[in-house]
Amino acid sequence: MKRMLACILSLMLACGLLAGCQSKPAEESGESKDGTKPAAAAAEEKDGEELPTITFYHHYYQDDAVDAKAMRALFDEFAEMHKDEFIFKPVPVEGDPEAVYNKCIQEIASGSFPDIVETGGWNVVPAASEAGLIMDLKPYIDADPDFKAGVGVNYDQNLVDGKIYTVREQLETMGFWYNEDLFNKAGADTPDKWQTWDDFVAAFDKLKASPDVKTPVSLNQGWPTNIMFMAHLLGTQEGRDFIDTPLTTFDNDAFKGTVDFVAEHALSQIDTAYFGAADSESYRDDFLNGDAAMLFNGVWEASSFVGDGLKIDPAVVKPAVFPTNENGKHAAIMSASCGYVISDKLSDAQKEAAVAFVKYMCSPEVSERIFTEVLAMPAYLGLDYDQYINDESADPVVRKLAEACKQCAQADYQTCAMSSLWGSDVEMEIGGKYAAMHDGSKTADQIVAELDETLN
Amino acid sequence: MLKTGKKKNWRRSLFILAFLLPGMFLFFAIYAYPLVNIFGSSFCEWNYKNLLHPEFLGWNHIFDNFIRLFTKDTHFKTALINSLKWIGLTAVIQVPFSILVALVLSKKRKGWALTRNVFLIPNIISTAAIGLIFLNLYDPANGLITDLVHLVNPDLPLNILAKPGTAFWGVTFSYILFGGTNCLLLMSQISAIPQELYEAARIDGASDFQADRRITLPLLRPMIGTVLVLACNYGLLLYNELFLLTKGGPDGATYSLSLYVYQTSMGSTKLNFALGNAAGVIQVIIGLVLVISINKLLRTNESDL
Repeated sequence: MKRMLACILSLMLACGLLAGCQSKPAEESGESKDGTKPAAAAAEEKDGEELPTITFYHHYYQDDAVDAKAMRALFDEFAEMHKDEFIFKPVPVEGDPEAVYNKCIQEIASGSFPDIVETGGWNVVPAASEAGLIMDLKPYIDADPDFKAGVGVNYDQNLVDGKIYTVREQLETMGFWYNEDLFNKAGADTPDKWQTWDDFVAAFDKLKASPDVKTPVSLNQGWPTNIMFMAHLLGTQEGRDFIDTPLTTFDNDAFKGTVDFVAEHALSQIDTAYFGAADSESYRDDFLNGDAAMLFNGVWEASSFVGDGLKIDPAVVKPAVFPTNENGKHAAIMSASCGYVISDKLSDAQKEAAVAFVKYMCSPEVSERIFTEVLAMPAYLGLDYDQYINDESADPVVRKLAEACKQCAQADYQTCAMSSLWGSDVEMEIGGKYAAMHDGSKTADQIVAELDETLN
Repeated sequence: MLKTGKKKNWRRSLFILAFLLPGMFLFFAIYAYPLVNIFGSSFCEWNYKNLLHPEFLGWNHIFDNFIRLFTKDTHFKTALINSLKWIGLTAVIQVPFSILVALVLSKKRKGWALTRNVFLIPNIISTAAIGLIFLNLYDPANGLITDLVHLVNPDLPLNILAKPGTAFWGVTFSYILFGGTNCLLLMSQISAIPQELYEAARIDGASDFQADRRITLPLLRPMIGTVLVLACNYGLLLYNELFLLTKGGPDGATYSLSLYVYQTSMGSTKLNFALGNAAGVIQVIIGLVLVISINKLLRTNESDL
């Protein structure tokens, strides 16, 4: 009896242990959450012949988000269009783009890479290219003028050692937004009239002095301040040279000038209540509540200026690009960053299919849908924004987005975002110095010396 | 007869082994292997350039990662100092506070059960949720704590988490008073103390305070030691609250060792696993020293009883 009991208990233990080993997630095995197989997988079985299969990991998992739904629809349409040639399996990874990035890093550490991923700006290229796991898209782009037009600034910004490992179909495009009503009340020149950064300073001072304006701008220790920082650096030839030179030191007059300018004319001029921690989103709320006259953020913010709960009149919100130190010239940030990355371990047929997908995502037709449905600026620069601006029957959000995109695309000087240019480590270090720039506790020289230490 | 006995012993050993095996397997897979891995890789170069093949630094440079941590990396130094501060603060604030609450609740005055449950609530909420709650409490525009602090001292910055000086205390306050679990452990120990001791003390004319001082606290020492180990480890491993509140900022002022390990390994584009693991080794050593020291202290105290 005891022996039998011992056997049963041991068996139960073994079963319990095995039960803990989770089976493959439904999405990865090609099944949807309700257990049914997607059309692509069903086609694979129906045809009964071996079709190349590529699995695509992306971060557009949210059920309700407008942009996520639109992006998923584009992926599914591509799968449907090519169901007789190859099996394309889009797999949403739950979590923000970092979850896709983490998946890639885990795979790289085990010597593999997902068939194709979309990392949403998280730069997986340095690690994956060093391991020789991802393919160079440049030969495909060079061979096809339409593809080259579709990738736009990706061609230059994502060119590393003569290779293009990643292409993103939508750009992080940033100028700023302003509340025309508050500018008028303060008697300040609106940004469309600014010729140089001196005009920015003059308007800022008037906004600050106005009893109708709670703060000229609301900032934090990261994103919005980074936008202004990069835009100011872009405003001089020395700054642009510094941007174009591989980063080895921050000991540069243009960089120090930008530290001083941002500290003196923005950070130290705003109350602590309008200076949030690195992840704080209150800078957006302050603008949407009508407290701040300017909002340093991307063109995608156009979709925020609608809705019943909005405390400002959307009609007074206007897009703008930053001035420079050259009379009448403007600067904007247009960042391609890391997007689609394809494994180099795929078969030729799989590679062709993966490249076809990236090409599809950068095509004029899809770019137009990314603009109107995802409400983002596509990498394809051939889009005619005027047709939306002049079309009075068009969605007001799309019109506003078109205005913002057009201004950024036509800016005299453009560069990529701080994180894309110098990496997120440097971005975080610079962001860390904003507190000292706000309270004036450190000089530009001290800040530069501390930043240089982190580069070693 | 002897043979049957040996056979029985063998069967018994096998039976015990069957139960031990899964646990041992899990221990070696989940704890021992990564621990060996962390120690081993801390003597390697292992970053985004060679994720697949960590390279041994060589005998002449074997401690390079550790030297770099202590000589060049300002964030590590801040993280180490902060973690030691949080260990100390937990020991001198959270543990005594938990003892005090446990002593008061053990008197079972009116409403003690409700108070105990309320005190326990923050400990059954995930630390991530606590972090989010405090993020709202510290909100510069609508945060309750921000408003209260500003009422008391208008000179303090409205945004507690935006200044290096105040951010450290903001993070500390988000966890330091939540000693519900400690309190529960201490109360269970208090309830195990024989009532005869208190009755005898009362007959001798001892007040509640004297009874607590002369009977409860000395008999609580072993449990206080356990609570001290748990609480100090929490201080050493602080991560979730930091990740949600400050991510180590501003200017690295609120880095902890755990956050440093994550940022250096996974949060950085350089993916410097070797450096992160070297910091992890130091964290493990601090943890071991902490546990051994407190246990040693505890054993001494036990012999004194």
